[in-house]
Amino acid sequence: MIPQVFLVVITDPIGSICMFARFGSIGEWSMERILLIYSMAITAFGLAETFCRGFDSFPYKMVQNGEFDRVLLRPRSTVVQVMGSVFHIHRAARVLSGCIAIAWCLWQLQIPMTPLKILFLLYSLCGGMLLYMGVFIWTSGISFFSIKGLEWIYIFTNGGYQVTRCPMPYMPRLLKNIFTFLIPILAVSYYPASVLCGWGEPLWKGLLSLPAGIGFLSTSLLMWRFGVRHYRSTGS
Amino acid sequence: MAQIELKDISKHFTVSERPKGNHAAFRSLFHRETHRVEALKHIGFSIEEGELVGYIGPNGAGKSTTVKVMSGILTPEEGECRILGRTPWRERASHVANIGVVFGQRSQLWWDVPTQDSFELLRDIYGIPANLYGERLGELTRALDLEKLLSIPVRQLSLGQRMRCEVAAALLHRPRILFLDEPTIGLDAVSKLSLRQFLKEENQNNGVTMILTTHDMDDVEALCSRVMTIGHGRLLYDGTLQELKETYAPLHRIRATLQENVQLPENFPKGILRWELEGKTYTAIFDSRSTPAHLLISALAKLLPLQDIVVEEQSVDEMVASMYRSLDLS
Repeated sequence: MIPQVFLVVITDPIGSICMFARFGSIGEWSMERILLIYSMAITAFGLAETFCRGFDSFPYKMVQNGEFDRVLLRPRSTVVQVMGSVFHIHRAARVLSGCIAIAWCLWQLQIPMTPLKILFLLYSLCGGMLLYMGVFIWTSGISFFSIKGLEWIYIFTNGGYQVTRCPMPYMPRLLKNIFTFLIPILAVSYYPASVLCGWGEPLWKGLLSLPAGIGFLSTSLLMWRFGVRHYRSTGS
Repeated sequence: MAQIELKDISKHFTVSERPKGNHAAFRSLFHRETHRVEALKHIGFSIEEGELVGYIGPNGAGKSTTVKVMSGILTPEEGECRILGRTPWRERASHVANIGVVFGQRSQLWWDVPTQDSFELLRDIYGIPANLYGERLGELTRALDLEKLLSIPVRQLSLGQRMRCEVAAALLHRPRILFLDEPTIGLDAVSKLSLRQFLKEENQNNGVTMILTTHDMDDVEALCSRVMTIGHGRLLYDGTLQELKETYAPLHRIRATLQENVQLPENFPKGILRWELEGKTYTAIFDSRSTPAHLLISALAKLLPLQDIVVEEQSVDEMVASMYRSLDLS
Protein backbone atom coordinates (compact mmCIF):
# COMPACT_ATOMS: atom_id res chain seq x y z
CA MET A 1 0.00 0.00 0.00
CA ILE A 2 2.73 2.46 0.86
CA PRO A 3 4.45 2.33 -2.58
CA GLN A 4 1.03 2.58 -4.19
CA VAL A 5 0.21 5.82 -2.40
CA PHE A 6 3.67 7.13 -3.22
CA LEU A 7 2.97 6.47 -6.87
CA VAL A 8 -0.33 8.36 -6.75
CA VAL A 9 1.29 11.27 -4.97
CA ILE A 10 4.08 11.48 -7.52
CA THR A 11 1.90 11.03 -10.60
CA ASP A 12 -0.81 13.38 -9.39
CA PRO A 13 0.95 16.65 -10.31
CA ILE A 14 2.79 15.13 -13.26
CA GLY A 15 0.50 16.85 -15.77
CA SER A 16 1.48 20.27 -14.46
CA ILE A 17 5.11 19.26 -14.25
CA CYS A 18 5.16 18.12 -17.88
CA MET A 19 3.41 21.27 -19.02
CA PHE A 20 5.90 23.48 -17.27
CA ALA A 21 8.79 21.41 -18.59
CA ARG A 22 7.48 22.00 -22.14
CA PHE A 23 6.53 25.67 -21.94
CA GLY A 24 8.73 26.96 -19.13
CA SER A 25 7.15 29.29 -16.60
CA ILE A 26 4.04 31.42 -16.88
CA GLY A 27 5.36 34.87 -16.10
CA GLU A 28 6.89 34.68 -12.67
CA TRP A 29 5.20 31.40 -12.01
CA SER A 30 7.77 28.69 -12.25
CA MET A 31 7.09 25.02 -11.73
CA GLU A 32 8.80 25.11 -8.31
CA ARG A 33 6.41 27.79 -7.07
CA ILE A 34 3.33 25.88 -8.11
CA LEU A 35 4.72 22.69 -6.69
CA LEU A 36 5.53 24.35 -3.37
CA ILE A 37 1.97 25.58 -2.91
CA TYR A 38 0.60 22.25 -4.03
CA SER A 39 2.83 20.23 -1.74
CA MET A 40 1.94 22.40 1.24
CA ALA A 41 -1.72 21.70 0.60
CA ILE A 42 -1.10 18.02 0.07
CA THR A 43 0.99 17.64 3.23
CA ALA A 44 -1.74 19.29 5.29
CA PHE A 45 -4.29 17.05 3.58
CA GLY A 46 -2.17 13.98 4.28
CA LEU A 47 -1.83 14.87 7.95
CA ALA A 48 -5.57 15.33 8.31
CA GLU A 49 -6.21 12.13 6.38
CA THR A 50 -3.91 10.12 8.63
CA PHE A 51 -6.14 10.98 11.57
CA CYS A 52 -9.52 11.36 9.91
CA ARG A 53 -9.88 8.51 7.42
CA GLY A 54 -12.58 7.10 9.66
CA PHE A 55 -14.81 9.88 8.38
CA ASP A 56 -14.29 8.76 4.82
CA SER A 57 -16.05 5.43 5.23
CA PHE A 58 -18.33 6.78 7.94
CA PRO A 59 -21.48 7.25 5.81
CA TYR A 60 -21.36 3.69 4.51
CA LYS A 61 -19.88 1.89 7.48
CA MET A 62 -21.70 3.58 10.31
CA VAL A 63 -24.75 5.58 9.30
CA GLN A 64 -26.21 3.28 6.69
CA ASN A 65 -26.22 0.19 8.90
CA GLY A 66 -26.84 1.87 12.21
CA GLU A 67 -23.43 1.14 13.70
CA PHE A 68 -23.26 4.71 14.88
CA ASP A 69 -25.60 3.60 17.69
CA ARG A 70 -22.64 1.98 19.33
CA VAL A 71 -20.58 5.13 19.10
CA LEU A 72 -23.38 7.13 20.70
CA LEU A 73 -23.61 4.67 23.58
CA ARG A 74 -20.02 5.27 24.67
CA PRO A 75 -19.23 8.10 27.04
CA ARG A 76 -16.64 9.61 24.70
CA SER A 77 -16.67 12.25 21.99
CA THR A 78 -18.28 10.92 18.81
CA VAL A 79 -15.74 12.73 16.63
CA VAL A 80 -12.80 11.11 18.40
CA GLN A 81 -14.42 7.69 18.19
CA VAL A 82 -15.07 7.98 14.46
CA MET A 83 -11.53 9.27 13.96
CA GLY A 84 -10.17 6.22 15.70
CA SER A 85 -12.40 3.76 13.87
CA VAL A 86 -10.02 3.49 10.91
CA PHE A 87 -6.29 4.04 10.97
CA HIS A 88 -4.14 3.58 7.89
CA ILE A 89 -0.43 3.86 8.36
CA HIS A 90 0.11 4.06 4.60
CA ARG A 91 -1.62 7.43 4.62
CA ALA A 92 1.59 8.79 6.09
CA ALA A 93 3.15 8.29 2.64
CA ARG A 94 1.38 11.41 1.42
CA VAL A 95 2.78 13.40 4.31
CA LEU A 96 6.27 12.09 3.74
CA SER A 97 6.32 12.77 0.00
CA GLY A 98 4.73 16.18 0.59
CA CYS A 99 7.47 17.12 3.03
CA ILE A 100 10.15 15.98 0.60
CA ALA A 101 8.55 18.05 -2.16
CA ILE A 102 8.37 21.14 0.05
CA ALA A 103 12.04 20.78 0.95
CA TRP A 104 13.02 20.31 -2.69
CA CYS A 105 11.04 23.35 -3.89
CA LEU A 106 12.46 25.59 -1.17
CA TRP A 107 15.93 24.43 -2.11
CA GLN A 108 15.32 25.06 -5.83
CA LEU A 109 13.85 28.49 -5.12
CA GLN A 110 16.94 29.24 -3.01
CA ILE A 111 14.98 30.33 0.02
CA PRO A 112 17.30 30.39 3.03
CA MET A 113 15.60 28.49 5.88
CA THR A 114 15.94 30.10 9.27
CA PRO A 115 14.51 28.44 12.41
CA LEU A 116 11.81 31.11 12.38
CA LYS A 117 10.79 30.17 8.84
CA ILE A 118 10.66 26.47 9.71
CA LEU A 119 8.43 27.36 12.63
CA PHE A 120 6.24 29.40 10.30
CA LEU A 121 6.03 26.47 7.88
CA LEU A 122 4.96 24.09 10.67
CA TYR A 123 2.46 26.69 11.85
CA SER A 124 0.77 26.87 8.48
CA LEU A 125 0.84 23.08 8.00
CA CYS A 126 -0.89 22.79 11.35
CA GLY A 127 -3.55 25.24 10.24
CA GLY A 128 -3.93 23.29 7.00
CA MET A 129 -4.33 20.02 8.85
CA LEU A 130 -7.11 21.44 11.03
CA LEU A 131 -8.79 22.87 7.94
CA TYR A 132 -8.81 19.53 6.15
CA MET A 133 -9.99 17.75 9.27
CA GLY A 134 -12.90 20.16 9.19
CA VAL A 135 -13.53 19.30 5.54
CA PHE A 136 -13.59 15.59 6.34
CA ILE A 137 -15.93 16.07 9.29
CA TRP A 138 -18.58 18.18 7.60
CA THR A 139 -18.59 16.24 4.36
CA SER A 140 -19.24 12.97 6.15
CA GLY A 141 -21.70 14.71 8.45
CA ILE A 142 -23.93 15.25 5.40
CA SER A 143 -24.69 11.55 5.58
CA PHE A 144 -26.89 12.17 8.63
CA PHE A 145 -29.36 13.72 6.21
CA SER A 146 -28.84 11.73 3.05
CA ILE A 147 -26.66 8.79 2.23
CA LYS A 148 -27.29 8.57 -1.48
CA GLY A 149 -24.94 9.93 -4.11
CA LEU A 150 -22.36 11.39 -1.82
CA GLU A 151 -19.58 11.20 -4.42
CA TRP A 152 -19.75 14.93 -5.09
CA ILE A 153 -18.22 15.61 -1.69
CA TYR A 154 -14.88 14.42 -3.10
CA ILE A 155 -14.73 17.80 -4.82
CA PHE A 156 -13.98 19.19 -1.42
CA THR A 157 -11.93 16.37 0.09
CA ASN A 158 -9.60 14.87 -2.48
CA GLY A 159 -10.30 17.61 -4.99
CA GLY A 160 -9.67 20.31 -2.44
CA TYR A 161 -5.94 20.42 -2.91
CA GLN A 162 -5.98 20.10 -6.70
CA VAL A 163 -7.10 23.69 -7.03
CA THR A 164 -3.80 24.88 -5.62
CA ARG A 165 -2.09 23.78 -8.85
CA CYS A 166 -3.54 26.78 -10.60
CA PRO A 167 -1.36 29.92 -10.25
CA MET A 168 -3.17 32.48 -8.12
CA PRO A 169 -3.18 35.41 -10.57
CA TYR A 170 -4.80 33.21 -13.22
CA MET A 171 -7.42 31.70 -11.00
CA PRO A 172 -11.01 32.76 -11.79
CA ARG A 173 -12.35 35.20 -9.22
CA LEU A 174 -15.19 32.86 -8.23
CA LEU A 175 -12.83 30.00 -7.41
CA LYS A 176 -10.49 32.37 -5.61
CA ASN A 177 -13.31 33.61 -3.42
CA ILE A 178 -14.65 30.14 -2.71
CA PHE A 179 -11.26 28.83 -1.67
CA THR A 180 -10.36 31.90 0.35
CA PHE A 181 -13.55 32.65 2.21
CA LEU A 182 -15.75 29.56 2.08
CA ILE A 183 -13.15 26.83 2.36
CA PRO A 184 -9.95 28.72 3.07
CA ILE A 185 -7.57 26.34 1.29
CA LEU A 186 -5.56 29.23 -0.17
CA ALA A 187 -5.07 30.60 3.34
CA VAL A 188 -3.13 27.49 4.26
CA SER A 189 -1.20 27.11 1.00
CA TYR A 190 -0.73 30.14 -1.25
CA TYR A 191 -0.52 32.90 1.36
CA PRO A 192 1.92 31.15 3.71
CA ALA A 193 4.06 30.09 0.72
CA SER A 194 4.07 33.66 -0.53
CA VAL A 195 5.17 35.00 2.85
CA LEU A 196 7.78 32.27 3.15
CA CYS A 197 9.35 33.09 -0.22
CA GLY A 198 8.69 36.82 -0.29
CA TRP A 199 6.32 36.97 -3.28
CA GLY A 200 4.68 40.10 -2.03
CA GLU A 201 1.78 39.01 0.21
CA PRO A 202 1.83 40.70 3.64
CA LEU A 203 2.77 38.68 6.73
CA TRP A 204 -0.66 38.89 8.34
CA LYS A 205 -2.26 37.05 5.46
CA GLY A 206 0.24 34.24 5.91
CA LEU A 207 -0.48 34.11 9.61
CA LEU A 208 -4.18 33.59 8.89
CA SER A 209 -3.59 29.88 8.24
CA LEU A 210 -4.01 28.69 11.83
CA PRO A 211 -7.05 30.87 12.69
CA ALA A 212 -8.61 29.85 9.38
CA GLY A 213 -8.04 26.18 10.18
CA ILE A 214 -9.40 26.49 13.70
CA GLY A 215 -12.39 28.50 12.52
CA PHE A 216 -13.26 26.05 9.80
CA LEU A 217 -12.86 23.04 12.08
CA SER A 218 -15.07 24.64 14.75
CA THR A 219 -17.78 25.38 12.22
CA SER A 220 -17.58 21.79 11.00
CA LEU A 221 -17.89 20.47 14.54
CA LEU A 222 -21.00 22.56 15.06
CA MET A 223 -22.46 21.15 11.86
CA TRP A 224 -21.53 17.67 13.03
CA ARG A 225 -23.38 18.16 16.30
CA PHE A 226 -26.38 19.39 14.40
CA GLY A 227 -26.18 16.29 12.23
CA VAL A 228 -25.99 13.90 15.18
CA ARG A 229 -29.34 15.27 16.35
CA HIS A 230 -30.78 14.09 13.06
CA TYR A 231 -29.29 10.64 13.17
CA ARG A 232 -32.09 8.16 12.55
CA SER A 233 -30.53 4.83 13.42
CA THR A 234 -31.97 1.76 11.68
CA GLY A 235 -34.86 -0.48 12.58
CA SER A 236 -34.30 -3.64 14.53
CA MET B 1 -37.96 12.15 41.91
CA ALA B 2 -38.26 9.08 39.75
CA GLN B 3 -35.10 7.71 38.21
CA ILE B 4 -36.51 7.68 34.71
CA GLU B 5 -39.12 10.17 33.64
CA LEU B 6 -40.57 10.64 30.17
CA LYS B 7 -43.13 13.30 29.41
CA ASP B 8 -44.97 13.73 26.15
CA ILE B 9 -42.20 12.26 24.00
CA SER B 10 -42.96 12.32 20.29
CA LYS B 11 -40.74 11.14 17.49
CA HIS B 12 -41.46 10.87 13.81
CA PHE B 13 -39.50 9.60 10.85
CA THR B 14 -39.74 10.63 7.25
CA VAL B 15 -39.90 7.55 5.09
CA SER B 16 -39.33 7.83 1.39
CA GLU B 17 -41.27 5.53 -0.85
CA ARG B 18 -41.19 4.67 -4.50
CA PRO B 19 -43.89 2.84 -6.42
CA LYS B 20 -42.57 -0.09 -8.43
CA GLY B 21 -41.68 0.12 -12.08
CA ASN B 22 -39.16 1.87 -14.29
CA HIS B 23 -41.27 4.93 -14.83
CA ALA B 24 -41.52 5.55 -11.12
CA ALA B 25 -37.80 4.88 -10.72
CA PHE B 26 -37.04 7.56 -13.28
CA ARG B 27 -39.44 10.02 -11.68
CA SER B 28 -37.88 9.45 -8.29
CA LEU B 29 -34.67 10.94 -9.62
CA PHE B 30 -36.36 14.33 -9.58
CA HIS B 31 -39.05 14.05 -7.03
CA ARG B 32 -39.08 11.94 -3.94
CA GLU B 33 -42.36 10.84 -2.42
CA THR B 34 -42.20 10.86 1.34
CA HIS B 35 -44.57 10.29 4.15
CA ARG B 36 -44.35 10.79 7.87
CA VAL B 37 -44.37 7.89 10.26
CA GLU B 38 -45.26 8.76 13.82
CA ALA B 39 -43.06 6.38 15.77
CA LEU B 40 -43.93 7.74 19.20
CA LYS B 41 -46.97 9.83 20.11
CA HIS B 42 -46.85 11.60 23.46
CA ILE B 43 -45.29 8.77 25.42
CA GLY B 44 -44.96 9.40 29.12
CA PHE B 45 -44.11 7.24 32.14
CA SER B 46 -41.88 7.24 35.16
CA ILE B 47 -39.85 4.44 36.65
CA GLU B 48 -38.40 4.23 40.14
CA GLU B 49 -35.00 2.90 41.09
CA GLY B 50 -34.78 -0.90 41.16
CA GLU B 51 -37.89 -1.58 39.11
CA LEU B 52 -37.89 -4.29 36.50
CA VAL B 53 -40.26 -3.25 33.75
CA GLY B 54 -41.37 -5.27 30.75
CA TYR B 55 -42.03 -3.22 27.65
CA ILE B 56 -44.14 -5.09 25.16
CA GLY B 57 -45.92 -4.39 21.92
CA PRO B 58 -46.20 -5.78 18.40
CA ASN B 59 -43.46 -5.31 15.82
CA GLY B 60 -43.06 -1.72 14.75
CA ALA B 61 -44.97 -0.37 17.75
CA GLY B 62 -42.13 1.88 18.87
CA LYS B 63 -40.41 -0.21 21.53
CA SER B 64 -36.92 0.12 20.11
CA THR B 65 -37.47 3.78 19.34
CA THR B 66 -38.33 4.42 22.98
CA VAL B 67 -35.22 2.58 24.11
CA LYS B 68 -33.10 4.54 21.65
CA VAL B 69 -34.53 7.83 22.86
CA MET B 70 -33.84 6.85 26.47
CA SER B 71 -30.30 5.81 25.65
CA GLY B 72 -29.49 9.04 23.83
CA ILE B 73 -29.24 7.62 20.31
CA LEU B 74 -32.29 9.40 18.93
CA THR B 75 -33.42 12.93 19.60
CA PRO B 76 -37.21 13.23 19.85
CA GLU B 77 -39.01 16.18 18.27
CA GLU B 78 -41.09 16.90 21.30
CA GLY B 79 -41.21 16.14 24.96
CA GLU B 80 -38.99 15.84 27.97
CA CYS B 81 -36.93 12.98 29.23
CA ARG B 82 -34.97 13.02 32.47
CA ILE B 83 -32.92 10.00 33.40
CA LEU B 84 -30.89 10.25 36.61
CA GLY B 85 -31.57 13.96 36.31
CA ARG B 86 -30.11 14.29 32.82
CA THR B 87 -31.58 14.71 29.38
CA PRO B 88 -30.03 11.89 27.31
CA TRP B 89 -29.51 13.72 24.03
CA ARG B 90 -28.25 16.95 25.65
CA GLU B 91 -25.77 15.42 28.08
CA ARG B 92 -25.06 12.29 26.10
CA ALA B 93 -21.58 11.44 27.38
CA SER B 94 -22.34 11.76 31.10
CA HIS B 95 -25.69 10.05 30.58
CA VAL B 96 -24.38 6.95 28.85
CA ALA B 97 -21.65 6.54 31.45
CA ASN B 98 -24.42 5.60 33.89
CA ILE B 99 -26.48 3.27 31.77
CA GLY B 100 -25.94 -0.05 30.05
CA VAL B 101 -27.66 -1.11 26.86
CA VAL B 102 -27.99 -4.56 25.32
CA PHE B 103 -29.38 -4.94 21.81
CA GLY B 104 -30.32 -8.51 21.04
CA GLN B 105 -29.99 -7.87 17.33
CA ARG B 106 -26.80 -5.88 17.25
CA SER B 107 -23.49 -6.60 18.86
CA GLN B 108 -21.80 -4.05 21.05
CA LEU B 109 -18.54 -5.99 21.06
CA TRP B 110 -15.66 -5.76 18.63
CA TRP B 111 -16.12 -8.54 16.15
CA ASP B 112 -12.56 -9.66 15.51
CA VAL B 113 -10.91 -9.49 18.89
CA PRO B 114 -11.22 -11.85 21.84
CA THR B 115 -13.92 -10.97 24.33
CA GLN B 116 -11.31 -10.21 26.97
CA ASP B 117 -9.83 -7.49 24.74
CA SER B 118 -13.26 -6.02 24.09
CA PHE B 119 -13.80 -5.86 27.83
CA GLU B 120 -10.47 -4.16 28.39
CA LEU B 121 -11.24 -1.62 25.70
CA LEU B 122 -14.53 -0.91 27.47
CA ARG B 123 -12.65 -0.59 30.75
CA ASP B 124 -10.56 2.17 29.20
CA ILE B 125 -13.51 3.84 27.47
CA TYR B 126 -15.50 3.99 30.69
CA GLY B 127 -12.41 4.76 32.76
CA ILE B 128 -13.02 1.94 35.25
CA PRO B 129 -10.21 1.75 37.85
CA ALA B 130 -8.16 -1.46 37.48
CA ASN B 131 -9.05 -3.00 40.86
CA LEU B 132 -12.78 -2.36 40.47
CA TYR B 133 -12.62 -3.76 36.95
CA GLY B 134 -10.93 -6.98 38.12
CA GLU B 135 -13.47 -7.45 40.86
CA ARG B 136 -16.44 -6.80 38.60
CA LEU B 137 -15.11 -8.99 35.80
CA GLY B 138 -14.63 -11.84 38.30
CA GLU B 139 -18.21 -11.41 39.51
CA LEU B 140 -19.66 -11.42 36.01
CA THR B 141 -17.45 -14.28 34.86
CA ARG B 142 -18.74 -16.46 37.68
CA ALA B 143 -22.35 -15.44 37.31
CA LEU B 144 -22.49 -15.77 33.53
CA ASP B 145 -19.98 -18.60 33.22
CA LEU B 146 -17.66 -16.74 30.90
CA GLU B 147 -14.39 -18.38 31.91
CA LYS B 148 -13.92 -20.29 28.66
CA LEU B 149 -15.26 -17.56 26.38
CA LEU B 150 -12.87 -14.77 27.30
CA SER B 151 -10.11 -15.80 24.92
CA ILE B 152 -12.32 -16.53 21.89
CA PRO B 153 -12.90 -13.90 19.18
CA VAL B 154 -16.46 -12.63 19.31
CA ARG B 155 -17.29 -13.76 15.77
CA GLN B 156 -16.68 -17.38 16.76
CA LEU B 157 -19.06 -17.37 19.72
CA SER B 158 -22.49 -18.95 19.45
CA LEU B 159 -25.48 -16.66 19.85
CA GLY B 160 -26.09 -17.76 23.43
CA GLN B 161 -22.45 -17.33 24.36
CA ARG B 162 -22.31 -13.96 22.67
CA MET B 163 -25.40 -12.73 24.45
CA ARG B 164 -23.85 -13.60 27.81
CA CYS B 165 -20.79 -11.60 26.82
CA GLU B 166 -22.97 -8.71 25.64
CA VAL B 167 -24.75 -8.58 28.97
CA ALA B 168 -21.44 -8.68 30.83
CA ALA B 169 -20.08 -5.90 28.60
CA ALA B 170 -23.09 -3.73 29.35
CA LEU B 171 -22.68 -4.22 33.10
CA LEU B 172 -18.90 -3.86 33.49
CA HIS B 173 -19.10 -0.22 34.47
CA ARG B 174 -21.82 -0.92 37.04
CA PRO B 175 -24.56 1.12 35.40
CA ARG B 176 -27.54 1.98 37.55
CA ILE B 177 -29.92 1.42 34.68
CA LEU B 178 -29.92 -1.35 32.10
CA PHE B 179 -31.94 -1.29 28.87
CA LEU B 180 -32.44 -4.63 27.19
CA ASP B 181 -33.87 -4.65 23.68
CA GLU B 182 -35.01 -8.19 22.91
CA PRO B 183 -32.16 -9.86 24.79
CA THR B 184 -33.57 -13.38 24.53
CA ILE B 185 -34.33 -13.36 20.83
CA GLY B 186 -33.11 -16.53 19.18
CA LEU B 187 -31.77 -18.11 22.37
CA ASP B 188 -32.32 -21.75 23.30
CA ALA B 189 -34.27 -22.70 26.41
CA VAL B 190 -31.23 -23.21 28.64
CA SER B 191 -29.63 -19.93 27.66
CA LYS B 192 -32.91 -18.09 28.15
CA LEU B 193 -33.45 -19.51 31.61
CA SER B 194 -29.95 -18.77 32.78
CA LEU B 195 -30.05 -15.25 31.36
CA ARG B 196 -33.34 -14.58 33.15
CA GLN B 197 -31.92 -15.95 36.38
CA PHE B 198 -28.90 -13.70 36.04
CA LEU B 199 -30.95 -10.58 35.31
CA LYS B 200 -33.15 -11.26 38.28
CA GLU B 201 -30.19 -11.61 40.60
CA GLU B 202 -28.51 -8.53 39.23
CA ASN B 203 -31.71 -6.59 39.83
CA GLN B 204 -32.13 -7.88 43.37
CA ASN B 205 -28.52 -7.78 44.53
CA ASN B 206 -27.34 -4.58 42.90
CA GLY B 207 -30.63 -2.73 42.55
CA VAL B 208 -30.12 -2.15 38.82
CA THR B 209 -33.22 -0.70 37.22
CA MET B 210 -34.11 -2.65 34.10
CA ILE B 211 -36.35 -2.07 31.14
CA LEU B 212 -36.79 -5.08 28.95
CA THR B 213 -38.44 -5.14 25.57
CA THR B 214 -39.40 -8.57 24.38
CA HIS B 215 -41.82 -10.69 22.43
CA ASP B 216 -41.27 -13.62 24.71
CA MET B 217 -44.00 -13.37 27.31
CA ASP B 218 -42.23 -15.90 29.49
CA ASP B 219 -39.51 -13.29 29.97
CA VAL B 220 -42.10 -10.87 31.26
CA GLU B 221 -43.76 -13.41 33.45
CA ALA B 222 -40.48 -14.58 34.97
CA LEU B 223 -38.97 -11.16 35.54
CA CYS B 224 -41.26 -8.19 35.42
CA SER B 225 -43.46 -6.86 38.17
CA ARG B 226 -44.64 -4.11 35.91
CA VAL B 227 -45.67 -4.18 32.28
CA MET B 228 -46.04 -1.39 29.78
CA THR B 229 -47.69 -1.98 26.43
CA ILE B 230 -47.11 0.22 23.44
CA GLY B 231 -48.94 0.12 20.14
CA HIS B 232 -48.95 2.49 17.16
CA GLY B 233 -46.63 4.77 19.12
CA ARG B 234 -48.98 5.17 22.09
CA LEU B 235 -48.64 3.85 25.60
CA LEU B 236 -51.74 1.68 26.04
CA TYR B 237 -51.22 -0.03 29.32
CA ASP B 238 -49.04 0.55 32.35
CA GLY B 239 -49.54 -1.62 35.40
CA THR B 240 -48.90 -5.00 36.95
CA LEU B 241 -48.94 -8.21 34.98
CA GLN B 242 -51.68 -9.45 37.34
CA GLU B 243 -54.05 -6.63 36.44
CA LEU B 244 -53.25 -7.10 32.80
CA LYS B 245 -54.23 -10.72 33.09
CA GLU B 246 -57.46 -9.92 34.92
CA THR B 247 -58.42 -7.45 32.22
CA TYR B 248 -57.46 -9.37 29.14
CA ALA B 249 -57.34 -12.99 30.25
CA PRO B 250 -60.14 -13.43 32.79
CA LEU B 251 -61.06 -16.86 31.52
CA HIS B 252 -59.45 -19.80 33.28
CA ARG B 253 -59.60 -23.42 32.38
CA ILE B 254 -60.20 -26.43 34.58
CA ARG B 255 -58.87 -29.69 33.26
CA ALA B 256 -59.87 -32.82 35.09
CA THR B 257 -58.91 -36.41 34.46
CA LEU B 258 -61.67 -38.81 35.43
CA GLN B 259 -61.24 -42.28 36.93
CA GLU B 260 -63.69 -43.91 34.54
CA ASN B 261 -65.90 -43.02 31.61
CA VAL B 262 -69.11 -41.50 32.87
CA GLN B 263 -72.36 -40.03 31.66
CA LEU B 264 -72.27 -36.34 32.49
CA PRO B 265 -75.12 -34.99 34.58
CA GLU B 266 -77.42 -32.35 33.11
CA ASN B 267 -77.04 -29.62 35.66
CA PHE B 268 -73.49 -28.39 36.12
CA PRO B 269 -72.38 -25.93 38.79
CA LYS B 270 -73.06 -22.31 37.96
CA GLY B 271 -70.23 -20.29 36.52
CA ILE B 272 -69.02 -22.75 33.92
CA LEU B 273 -69.26 -21.04 30.58
CA ARG B 274 -68.61 -24.02 28.37
CA TRP B 275 -67.27 -27.51 28.76
CA GLU B 276 -66.30 -30.55 26.80
CA LEU B 277 -65.46 -34.17 27.45
CA GLU B 278 -62.94 -36.14 25.45
CA GLY B 279 -62.47 -39.68 26.70
CA LYS B 280 -61.54 -39.30 30.32
CA THR B 281 -60.49 -35.67 30.05
CA TYR B 282 -63.02 -33.10 31.10
CA THR B 283 -62.36 -29.42 30.29
CA ALA B 284 -64.37 -26.43 31.50
CA ILE B 285 -63.91 -22.70 30.96
CA PHE B 286 -64.97 -20.23 33.64
CA ASP B 287 -64.59 -16.53 34.39
CA SER B 288 -62.18 -16.12 37.29
CA ARG B 289 -63.58 -12.70 38.16
CA SER B 290 -67.04 -13.96 39.07
CA THR B 291 -66.41 -17.56 40.07
CA PRO B 292 -63.75 -18.57 42.61
CA ALA B 293 -61.95 -21.70 41.45
CA HIS B 294 -62.17 -23.54 44.78
CA LEU B 295 -65.98 -23.47 44.75
CA LEU B 296 -66.05 -24.96 41.30
CA ILE B 297 -63.60 -27.68 42.22
CA SER B 298 -65.51 -28.77 45.27
CA ALA B 299 -68.74 -28.77 43.28
CA LEU B 300 -67.18 -30.84 40.52
CA ALA B 301 -65.70 -33.27 43.03
CA LYS B 302 -69.19 -34.12 44.18
CA LEU B 303 -70.46 -34.66 40.64
CA LEU B 304 -67.62 -36.51 38.97
CA PRO B 305 -65.17 -39.28 39.88
CA LEU B 306 -62.08 -37.08 39.77
CA GLN B 307 -58.60 -38.49 39.61
CA ASP B 308 -56.63 -35.33 38.95
CA ILE B 309 -57.56 -31.68 38.49
CA VAL B 310 -55.61 -28.65 37.23
CA VAL B 311 -56.63 -25.00 36.95
CA GLU B 312 -54.87 -23.15 34.15
CA GLU B 313 -54.67 -19.51 33.21
CA GLN B 314 -54.77 -18.56 29.59
CA SER B 315 -51.19 -18.45 28.34
CA VAL B 316 -49.67 -15.02 28.38
CA ASP B 317 -49.19 -15.22 24.63
CA GLU B 318 -52.91 -15.80 24.13
CA MET B 319 -53.63 -12.93 26.45
CA VAL B 320 -51.34 -10.55 24.62
CA ALA B 321 -52.81 -11.61 21.30
CA SER B 322 -56.30 -10.89 22.59
CA MET B 323 -55.15 -7.59 24.01
CA TYR B 324 -53.55 -6.56 20.69
CA ARG B 325 -56.79 -7.53 18.96
CA SER B 326 -59.03 -5.65 21.32
CA LEU B 327 -56.80 -2.58 21.10
CA ASP B 328 -56.84 -2.92 17.34
CA LEU B 329 -53.09 -3.41 17.03
CA SER B 330 -52.79 -6.56 15.02
